[in-house]
Amino acid sequence: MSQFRILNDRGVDAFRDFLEESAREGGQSPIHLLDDNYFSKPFHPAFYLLPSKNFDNKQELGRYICECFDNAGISRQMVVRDRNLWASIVLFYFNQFCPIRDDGTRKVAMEAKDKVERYPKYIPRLNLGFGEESLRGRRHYALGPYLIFDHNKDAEYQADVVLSGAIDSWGDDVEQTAGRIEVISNRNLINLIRMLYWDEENSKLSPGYSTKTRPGNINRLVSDLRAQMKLTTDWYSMPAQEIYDNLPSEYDYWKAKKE
Amino acid sequence: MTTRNFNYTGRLFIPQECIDGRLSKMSSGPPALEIDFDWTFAPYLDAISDDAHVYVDADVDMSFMRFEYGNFGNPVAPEDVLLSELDSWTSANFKIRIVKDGTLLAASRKHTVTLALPDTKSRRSLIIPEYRDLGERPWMLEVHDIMEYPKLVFNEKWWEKAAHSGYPLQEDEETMATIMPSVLEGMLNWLLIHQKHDAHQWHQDQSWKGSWIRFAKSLADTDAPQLDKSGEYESMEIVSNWITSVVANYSESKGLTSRLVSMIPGGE
Repeated sequence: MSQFRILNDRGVDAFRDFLEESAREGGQSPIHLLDDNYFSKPFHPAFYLLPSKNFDNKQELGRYICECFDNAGISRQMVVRDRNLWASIVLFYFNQFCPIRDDGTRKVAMEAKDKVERYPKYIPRLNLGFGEESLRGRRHYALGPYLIFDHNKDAEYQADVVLSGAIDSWGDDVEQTAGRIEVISNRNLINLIRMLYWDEENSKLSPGYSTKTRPGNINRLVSDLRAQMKLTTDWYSMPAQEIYDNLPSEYDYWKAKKE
Repeated sequence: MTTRNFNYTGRLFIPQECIDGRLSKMSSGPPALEIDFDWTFAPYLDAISDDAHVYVDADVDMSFMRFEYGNFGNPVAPEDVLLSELDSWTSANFKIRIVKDGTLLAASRKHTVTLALPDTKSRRSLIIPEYRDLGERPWMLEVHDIMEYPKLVFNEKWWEKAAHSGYPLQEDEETMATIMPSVLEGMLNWLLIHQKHDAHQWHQDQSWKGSWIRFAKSLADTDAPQLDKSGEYESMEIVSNWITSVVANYSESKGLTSRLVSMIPGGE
């Protein structure tokens, strides 16, 4: 295992070219960019990722990255604005983030209308502006799970409910959750999501939890309802059970499933 | 169209005058967020029960910390007010919430403090100064779409030397006269060209973005260029020329070059 290297801007451009030009046809990921001094350099402080590591879900990914950073003394503040690091991590495990399908092609997620970054799931989108850069982690396959896990690593379930999906899937529910610091940092709310939608017996989310046409779905919980409730209540200081007991009737369906 | 905000919630507003917030840094590591409260500036807050809880919620980008300041009747800072979990250690946004049994009784709007300008008292800024290691670059404008306020970032070496000399940069007329036209130009470029919103769209905006545009329009000789129905400007040259004229009028209104010239010893 060698010290992890990160793409420079030239390397990120080459990675983007690969996504644009040959990834869909099942082309081999350009992992060699991470060994080429013209396209990459060692990251400091040094940390190490196992190339053979497999991730069954986003929680495993978030936990592994957190552990590797912790072992190297790397704090969140040192990495959350580093676009090239997060693009490099996705490239390093590209075949897991964008696997080759049975027909030999890959499904490459793209945001065609985004003028800043057409591939924000693989290369974090930079916030437009001058000066210090910040990243939008909500759509990124590695940064999003890392942020959610890091905020919840000391919690009982370590946000398993929102990190239970495969690392190459990214539903609206994850995006709505990962993009809101008021959600991922509120353990009471994360526990509430677990109380409502987690199927304990099968260790997975209940079917239909994110179906937007279904009353009481997760997207409405973390966006509209939360925005409305925070005008009059403080979910940070309320135990999950208390929030649960005071939810409007549209959540009765989910409550009934638990009884 | 004028936008009005109605508050049907019964939640009380905690005005800025009640909050004295500042960042302080003792050594390397995270700064401390220190806040004092004086509720007497808002007598209507007397309706709040003394045993309600006071919380200070601080955030930067995708990081968040909550500090418990005890009871409304006698708020006391917690032992640890270091912003160790925030993603920036030079600035922070914070909001005050007063809560009883899960019910939000009162809240402030979001405030921003930086190490360069830590005091929140009576400030209504278009931009806030900050300092940081910029290598050999003297200063830069920092602005993007999710900021509470744009920042004028100075090189920390320059900032600290000036502060120790007794002439802090933000009060240094010569420095600010030199920098501010470029800051105004950068802001208008970002708002009108990078963000591709015309001045008409920004005019109603209640944040600093609208404030900058209203400020620019107050300086302009001509109407601001507008986007057409397809969302394009008739000509980027017209937009650039409008920005250039606004910056020229700003400089004229402040007599910037004349002031710079007059500061040179022996000059007339």
